[in-house]
Amino acid sequence: MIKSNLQRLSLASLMLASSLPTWAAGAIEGAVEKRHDLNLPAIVMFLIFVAFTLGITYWAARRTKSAKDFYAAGGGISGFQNGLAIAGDYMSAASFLGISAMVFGVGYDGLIYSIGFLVGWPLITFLIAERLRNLGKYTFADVASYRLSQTPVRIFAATGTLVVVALYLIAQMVGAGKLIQVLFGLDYTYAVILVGILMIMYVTFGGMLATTWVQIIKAILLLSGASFMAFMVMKHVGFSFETLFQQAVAVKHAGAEALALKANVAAEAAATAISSNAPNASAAVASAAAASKAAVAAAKANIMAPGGLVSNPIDAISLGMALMFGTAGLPHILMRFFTVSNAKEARKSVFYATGFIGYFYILTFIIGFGAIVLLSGEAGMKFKEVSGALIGGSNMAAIHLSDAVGGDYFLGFISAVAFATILAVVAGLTLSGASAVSHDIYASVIKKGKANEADEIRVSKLTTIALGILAMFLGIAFEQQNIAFMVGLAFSIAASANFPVLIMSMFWKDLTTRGAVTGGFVGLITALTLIILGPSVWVEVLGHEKGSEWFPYKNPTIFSMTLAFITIWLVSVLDTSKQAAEERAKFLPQFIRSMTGIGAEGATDKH
Amino acid sequence: MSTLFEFSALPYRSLKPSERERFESALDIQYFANGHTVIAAGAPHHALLILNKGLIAEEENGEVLTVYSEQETINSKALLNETAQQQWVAIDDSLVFSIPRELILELIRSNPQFGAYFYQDIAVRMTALAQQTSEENELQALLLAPVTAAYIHPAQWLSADASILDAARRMQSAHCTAVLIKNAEHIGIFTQRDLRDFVISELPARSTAIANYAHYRLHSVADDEPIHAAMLLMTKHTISRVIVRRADGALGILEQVDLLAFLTQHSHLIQSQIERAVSMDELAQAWSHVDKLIRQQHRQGVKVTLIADTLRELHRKLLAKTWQLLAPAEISANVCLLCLGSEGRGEQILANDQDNALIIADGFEHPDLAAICAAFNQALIRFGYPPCPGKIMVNNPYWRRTESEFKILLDEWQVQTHRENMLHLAIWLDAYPVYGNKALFARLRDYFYQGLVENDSLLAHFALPIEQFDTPLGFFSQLRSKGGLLDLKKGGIFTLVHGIRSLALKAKLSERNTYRRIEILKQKDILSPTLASDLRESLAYLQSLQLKYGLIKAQQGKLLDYGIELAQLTTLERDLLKDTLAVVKRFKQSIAHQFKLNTL
Repeated sequence: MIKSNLQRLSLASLMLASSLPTWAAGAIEGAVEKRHDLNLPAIVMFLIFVAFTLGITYWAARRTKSAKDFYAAGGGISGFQNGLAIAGDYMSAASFLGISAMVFGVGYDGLIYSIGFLVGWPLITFLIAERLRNLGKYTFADVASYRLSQTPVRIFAATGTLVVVALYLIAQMVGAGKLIQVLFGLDYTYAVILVGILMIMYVTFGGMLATTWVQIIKAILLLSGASFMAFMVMKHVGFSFETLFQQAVAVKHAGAEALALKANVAAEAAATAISSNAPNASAAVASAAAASKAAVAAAKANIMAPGGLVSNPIDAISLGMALMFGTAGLPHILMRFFTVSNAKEARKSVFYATGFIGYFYILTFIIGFGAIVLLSGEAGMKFKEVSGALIGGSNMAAIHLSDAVGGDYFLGFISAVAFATILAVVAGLTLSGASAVSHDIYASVIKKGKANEADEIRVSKLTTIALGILAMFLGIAFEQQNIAFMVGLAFSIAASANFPVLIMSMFWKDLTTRGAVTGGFVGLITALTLIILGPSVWVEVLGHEKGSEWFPYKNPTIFSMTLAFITIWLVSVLDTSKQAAEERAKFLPQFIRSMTGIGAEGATDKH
Repeated sequence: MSTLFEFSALPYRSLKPSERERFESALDIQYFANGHTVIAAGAPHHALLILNKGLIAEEENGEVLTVYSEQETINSKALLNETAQQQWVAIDDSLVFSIPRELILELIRSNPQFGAYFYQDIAVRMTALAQQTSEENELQALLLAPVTAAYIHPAQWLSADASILDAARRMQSAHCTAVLIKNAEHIGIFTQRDLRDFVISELPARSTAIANYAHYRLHSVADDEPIHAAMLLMTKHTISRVIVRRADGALGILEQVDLLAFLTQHSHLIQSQIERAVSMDELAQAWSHVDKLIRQQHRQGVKVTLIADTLRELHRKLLAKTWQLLAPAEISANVCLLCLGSEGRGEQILANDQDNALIIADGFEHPDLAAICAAFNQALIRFGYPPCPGKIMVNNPYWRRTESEFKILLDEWQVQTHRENMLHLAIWLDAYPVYGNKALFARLRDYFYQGLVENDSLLAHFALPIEQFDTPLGFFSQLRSKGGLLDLKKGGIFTLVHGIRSLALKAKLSERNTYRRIEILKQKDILSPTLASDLRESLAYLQSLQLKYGLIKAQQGKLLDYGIELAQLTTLERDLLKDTLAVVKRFKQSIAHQFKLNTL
């Protein structure tokens, strides 16, 4: 039944997709102008490197490359390697493009994302990694249903996973779409559709291209590309952060002065209009007022001080919470603790991953500031539209910077790495989304564990296609959003829905199925609703008037996560059913196992 | 059955694979109804005819010379002469294979062994075939072998004044059917038949002396005389045992049943020889027949799984006896000898390697244990089991542990899921207790399955090695080989065995044999009936190929491995291999999906 439904769904989406360009192009405000001249060397370089990267990933994904014999020792993934892989999974194009763009736009406050993404890791190291590995479970659904009732928990977990995956996918789609748009001069809509189709093909025909080695190679490529860019930026400023920041401040200052000048001109024009009683006087006054407002804002904005991005404390804390706790709820990250051979290696791998990720964020910070400096003035003109905005939007700051520091060939390289990165992250995400549907919903819930293998695989492939198409739609709708911000929304869902259930099921013995599912859904629905009613979707995506949003904050986590925890606690405590008692009884064996890796029976028997 | 022609009959067995292929492609089938003439007298013989089904008579002047039955070549001589005076008539509805004369002549020229059959008279023909180990030839060789090649019971001596009861007791304790006595000038024999006759006489067994009931007219052969001399003696005097005079003056007894068994290589004979062996030499002697037994069963077309069943018992008996001969009883009471891997699963036919382990009871220590274990492995090497390349043998302290040390190991395997541990776990899952205190093993097995909690990570790491080897089947289902060689184990057998083993671990089956595992997985609805039967058939087919070409290798004195030369395979074998590998490939994908190997 589900199969035919899914087929119908995917068919409908395909039909929609084919009719999409006409309305979508009209519906999106301010579609960015195309790049006028095709940069051939960069395109050639891009194609070569994408082919090379895909080739290398294919090679890496093959397990049969060495004719190893049965007794050949070793061959496992070490903690270091897995750390790189986790970093590879985590350092998506979203963080590379998004964070550097954020720093490029607002300076210091861009760091909030870097730091937020980073501090989630110690949390995982100490609370989750080892325990998850000991339990031997690798999806959030598997952990949560360890002692709770399968069906409701899996339905909730699959829903949570799908929402997170969808939001996360949007960010990747926007990044890849923009990249293709800038590089090939395609219309954004077509670029996104093209990327979507490529992604679906990559995941459905590529087989297991989300394997550890793929992520390792990806991480190495991205780290070396970004390191090179950061090095070039630092070279430009004589390896002095002070110079870098001074120049950046000067650039911003010059920008503010230019705006002030513009405001002055507008004010004069308005004054003339009023004095001459011109009919357009009121319009001139309005434009003068706007210009002066912009000038004041620019003059006030200090890229070396906080407040540029998140000006109110609630938003700041909320975002911080999302970034910190969201990581632990990301489906494709949890899977990585599964790869290593024991709990110690799991912990080690998080340690290394944290190191790599931290280093990477320092790079993005330098790249962001570098972009401010290097994409300004005469030299920077070729990267900008007439209006002064970056071609392809600010998300493309890092890409343009690569051109500025390394020329066309390096631009091709970085674009290729970013693109391949996106493909790999998408593969990992889609696989976890598809497995949530095929395994958790189809096989475990609908078929009660009696699913036919072939059908399960088919459902999984159909889900992949459906997710790909959904991501195309959303990618088009969210074109103007900063990528890192989109990822932040995915994190806030993960932190509000998945994280509370995961953490409570591991550490709180009184958790019951009823509590987990109710609380989880409350967190999920609250977060989702507040995001839609908040300014970023209500105003910026749905096009309602500014100020008409129902919820004033951009990030809902502080409310939704708290609500989720409270609901879980309350419902669990009030749950006096027999089932609840049984579930509480099962906590101790689970806890022992999560600490030791050995079944409770084994642990008690062993003296 | 799509196989057209049975090449196992003479002289077609001597055709090489390429020749067989040509032969098969030129093959035609003709039908003759009862009473119809197949070839008229004087008619030209354009083709060689081989009777497939039915009966055909060769007649001359109305007189039946010969009647040919199935699988016989009816006109070999006439073919060479082109015509014959005889005529051939179907005396039943008959199907006849015909092969063009030109091809036969060409084959005769290119293959001397094949040609000999057509050209020469019988004597010369036999010599030509003697180069080949044909069945007849082997029988001949057996008959000409010295009597000591068969199992010779050591003589059981009693003093001349022993009672009948003593004789009966000795027969029981020594598993023998006759005892010898020696008085002043004679040697006498007292057999089970004599015992029976005595019992009927109702005389007291304890007080009656054996001397009065023994026979003193003994028939004997020297130990270098051929088997057929002993056989002749038995037939001539209608006796069922003869005395064998050893060169050193000792005597032994050759039983008729052993002689017959020697000729037919019965497995239970080997088994009882193993059981009765009291020295390594006797054990080696007993085990030396196994190779022939395998060959014979294989030639007779016994299914590979059935051969494996027979061999399983023999292998285990051999291991048990070897240990028993080496280790004193006090040690054996405190240890349990395990065979692991394919041996434990009971799927080892030709000894490819030895995998064994020893569980020692907690607190038990013995200074000789290490030496005994080393000797055990050495003995097995002597019997033809190559040492295990992964050193999974009792002489390796890793595989010789106390019960509690094993428990720690079993826990570690579950928690530290790196490649080596997974391999060890896989081998352990196939363990079978061969000898000693089997309770030690039973406890460990229970400990393992009780402590085994559902652990997806463990299962995934465990199943991962099935992706280690490429299935040698290309995109267009062509067979892929490395330099013409295809490794059956890496290419298919391992994938099937390990995939099934992974499912068995997931379902916590304590079953070891792959076929049994498949059966239970089917009953538990984990495998669909069609998949189960596909897997069974595929595995059996791969194992039979392995056996067939392994035997050829062994015969050529080559080291046993799993490689087969694709060029050797017949067309039919290739096609079946393709189908089989397609099943392997499908199964591999399904395991990869089920165990989420794409996340590793």
